[in-house]
Amino acid sequence: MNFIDGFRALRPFITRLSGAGNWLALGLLLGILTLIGNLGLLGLSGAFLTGAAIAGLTPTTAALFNFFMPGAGVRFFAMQRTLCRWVERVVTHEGTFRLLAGLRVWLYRHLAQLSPRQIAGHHGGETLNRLVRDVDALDNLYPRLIMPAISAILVFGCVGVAFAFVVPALLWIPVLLILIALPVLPLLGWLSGKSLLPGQVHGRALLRTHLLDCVEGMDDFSLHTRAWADQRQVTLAHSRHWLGLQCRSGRRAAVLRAATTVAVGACAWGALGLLAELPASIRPEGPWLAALVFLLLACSEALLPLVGAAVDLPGTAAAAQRINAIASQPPAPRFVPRGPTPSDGGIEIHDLRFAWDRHTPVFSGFNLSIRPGEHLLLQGASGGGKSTLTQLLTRFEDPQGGIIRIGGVPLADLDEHTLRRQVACVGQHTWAKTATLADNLRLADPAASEEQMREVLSLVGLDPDKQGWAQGLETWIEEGGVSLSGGQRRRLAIARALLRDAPITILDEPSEGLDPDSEVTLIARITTRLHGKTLIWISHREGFEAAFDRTVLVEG
Amino acid sequence: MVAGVVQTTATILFASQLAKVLHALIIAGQPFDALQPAWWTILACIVVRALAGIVRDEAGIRISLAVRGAVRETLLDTLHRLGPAWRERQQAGSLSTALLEQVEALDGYFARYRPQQWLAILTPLMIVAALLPSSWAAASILLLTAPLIPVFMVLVGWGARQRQTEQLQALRRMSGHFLDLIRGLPSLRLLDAHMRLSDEVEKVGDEFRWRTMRVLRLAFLSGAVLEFFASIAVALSAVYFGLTLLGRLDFGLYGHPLDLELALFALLLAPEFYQPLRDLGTHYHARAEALAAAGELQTILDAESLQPAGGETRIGDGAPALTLDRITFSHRAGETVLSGCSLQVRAGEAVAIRGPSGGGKTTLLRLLLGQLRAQEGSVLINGSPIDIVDLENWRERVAWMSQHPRLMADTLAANLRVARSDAGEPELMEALAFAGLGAWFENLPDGLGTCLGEGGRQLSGGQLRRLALARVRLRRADVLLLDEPTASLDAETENWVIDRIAELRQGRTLVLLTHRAAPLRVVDRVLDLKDGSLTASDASPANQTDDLLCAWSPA
Repeated sequence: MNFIDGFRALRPFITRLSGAGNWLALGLLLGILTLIGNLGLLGLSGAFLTGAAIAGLTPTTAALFNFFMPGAGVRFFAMQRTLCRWVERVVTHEGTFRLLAGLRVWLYRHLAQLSPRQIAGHHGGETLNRLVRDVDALDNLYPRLIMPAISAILVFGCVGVAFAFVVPALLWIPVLLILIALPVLPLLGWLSGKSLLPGQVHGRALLRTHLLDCVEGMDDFSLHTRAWADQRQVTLAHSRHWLGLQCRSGRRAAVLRAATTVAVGACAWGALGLLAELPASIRPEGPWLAALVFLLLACSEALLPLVGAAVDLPGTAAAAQRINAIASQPPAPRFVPRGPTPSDGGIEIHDLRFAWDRHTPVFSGFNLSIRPGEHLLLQGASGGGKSTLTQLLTRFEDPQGGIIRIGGVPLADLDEHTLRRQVACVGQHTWAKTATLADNLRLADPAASEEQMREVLSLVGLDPDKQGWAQGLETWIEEGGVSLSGGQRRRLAIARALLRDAPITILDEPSEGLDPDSEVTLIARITTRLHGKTLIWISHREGFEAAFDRTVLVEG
Repeated sequence: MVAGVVQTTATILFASQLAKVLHALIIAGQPFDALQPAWWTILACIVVRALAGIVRDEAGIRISLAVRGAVRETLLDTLHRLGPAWRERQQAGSLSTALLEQVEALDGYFARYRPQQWLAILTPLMIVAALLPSSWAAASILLLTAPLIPVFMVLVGWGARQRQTEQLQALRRMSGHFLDLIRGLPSLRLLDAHMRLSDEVEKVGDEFRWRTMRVLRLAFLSGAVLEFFASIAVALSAVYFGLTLLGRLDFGLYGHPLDLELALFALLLAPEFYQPLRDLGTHYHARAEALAAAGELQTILDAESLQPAGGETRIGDGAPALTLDRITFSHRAGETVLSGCSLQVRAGEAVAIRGPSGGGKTTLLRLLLGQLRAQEGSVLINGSPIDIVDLENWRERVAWMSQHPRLMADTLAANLRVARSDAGEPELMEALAFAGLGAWFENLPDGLGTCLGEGGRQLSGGQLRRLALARVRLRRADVLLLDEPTASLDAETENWVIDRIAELRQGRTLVLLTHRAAPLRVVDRVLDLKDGSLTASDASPANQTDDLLCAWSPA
């Protein structure tokens, strides 16, 4: 990725202001006022002292010198700086928070239309973690890079105006500072950060997987000291390597910071020398000379905060690129906005062909017909396509050939809302929201009453009273469902599916992790509850065919 | 530190030379040529100051690297000491977060905050020392506020802490909420709730903004106060010197006349006086972050081991006998898992234990391995109490198959050598063939070097189970502890795996946990774990077909 590509990746995020534009503009204005206050304070103080010193040479001029104006100016700038800084921080943070929320809402809306395969690719959990880290990285784009850069440039512009009036011959010095702020510093930051970035990303991923192995593989390592010694050594080596890379990038940032200080200092230093050498006719008066040098010195305050952001620039651009790559995918199965309503809960599958990729065909000419209200047991070895069929029936994936009809309507003609109302499904991916038990159930039906919720919970054997959950329906469920065991999470998912009250219900391995007695009970309760509605029960186990109307073996 | 002092010295020298040149040019009207040495000194000061800055950063980076490396190493060793039973009680993913992110969170504190802490005191003192010989009034303008420096530090600390913790927490919760929903998207879509929740994302964002801003508005005040004093110091110096130059004030200079050089010198130093304190404020979030992380890391380092201490006794060769004698065990007070539970497994005997999930079966195995300590009762290996057994040596002789075998993100060879680190390639291939992975292995282009797990080749549930079987085969084991060895397998594969277990158990002691019927045929005895204790089962291996669920009796 070169600089231009990096800019292209960042562009959509630069222009997306999500209603925070006014706040940020106000913050920008205040930031500039703060900087002007700072510059003004130092510049005016320098000029005032010099003027006073010149005037103080003879008693007459000293008596005539008006010290009220500059004195008041100095105090004004001091107050302006303090006040503006405070308001600026409040306003900028307000704007930034709005921006953050806006970015997440935008991304969420995009992701919500993608299939699970499009979001997570083939790497699952880590992709999502990285996605969240990337969003966090983009949070810094405005407050750390764009706003300081714009205000630095505008303030240097003001310094430029001062130069233009007093010594037009040296106008190039503030112009030079502006050039440092915009193309030079980000470009240098880009160059210094870019070469290390891939190594850092890779090093972090390697270290993470090794640490994960150390933690998760503890059962094995606990029994074999030498294997642990090997693993420990390799992991620590990865840790050292990654830390070393960080050290190099930190060093580069330090050098860049030092170079920036030297550049600003050298500008002031050069200006001093050049001003002194100017022929007396165009040389500014003493107070102006001091003021200009002091102004240039104060410029470092505007420039230094940019250094850190500049070094992080490649990382931020890479984050933007990854988010763009995910978010710019067109939703793979695209739903029609409004479609017909299926007549009943029957399913027709004709000549179905599907492959995840060219090498792993799953279905080639699969046929299945399910009557409305039929209870079907779908069996077959792991990897035989049972779960793939679920994904096709819920239209997370589209088949490469053949047709699926639900209630007489081809799946592709249904809008998403109708399809979801028609088909309730518990996939192998079970998830619980970090919220109360009741909130989790209301995901399925926002209008569900407490009785309804208690009824489905006790049906799946998750009655809060019997589980010993003192808060009942208000029991707090932790992030990702950690406070629930795998089996409990699965049963919660089944309870949600039952609340959907759909004509067709698909349950993928609903009894996984249950002991045989509970399994039999669960089957009996669910088949009774769903009497008259279509049910597809998927399991790799055998032994309870009798509870269903029909058993079908799926083997590609 | 030294670099910081050099930096300040360069700054002071820079101010004095700049003041000198300006004075000479403007007031004394000297030609610029005469000022060349001073002019060049200014450049030298600028460069030295920058170089000292690099050295200071470098020192901070190095300290931070050393600390993070050492902390990570200590944590790994602690985790190993605490063992897998302790790990099971931690939230999923929290330990790897601790090892990676939380150790990294120490960075800012050691690299930036701590060095700055000293400079925030030293630099102002040096500046006052530089001013004092020429003007006590200028020095006292700064010094007047100096006693307040500790107060400022507390103030900055207080404000920043409020600000940072609140902001950090808000961001973390916002990210957590977002991650939670993204993870749940497939489920949410099936429930047709995905679009409804986009409003929730917005609402949560607004709520965090509102709550955080309420605190931030106050917290920013502390920064503003510091800013105020810095500005006032500059303004006061300017006014004082200006009036003195004009002859309206006459004190604080030990009777010498004031010239522009001294006035500018003092003016240039005034903002530098407060700069380190302001820097400290900006680095303060590093401290807050590091403190939070250190607190969580400390709980790991201080965690009490759940394992028995062990001793020196080595278990004799051959398959040992295993005994649990009236064991009582609870994870937390009031949640008794085992009560008065006894088990006797003769040397070379095979025993199956059945029971509902979550009934404490795995706990039994952990007690036998010395990974958990019972509250009451004793664990005996070949008659020796586990407290005097050399645990490291004992565990080396056990082969354990977990309920959820795990693939490491490493090569196939590494995934097998977890069981035996010195196994040669022929042994690895023999184990693969034994576990029925021979044909699969033949088709791997990279052979034993094939990368598995995250980012590599994934295995199906059945293949993973076979890999676990190959690991068991590789162990130099006298005891097999198998936890649900046929979970999530279809009937055919299950029977195949059971046949292999039957082979493996020869000459070894076997304890097998299961809630399925098929594995019972390889054992000598079946026990039921109910309400925390073991009873002989009616479903003995001989009449297992009586079991309701075994209509599909294995071939």
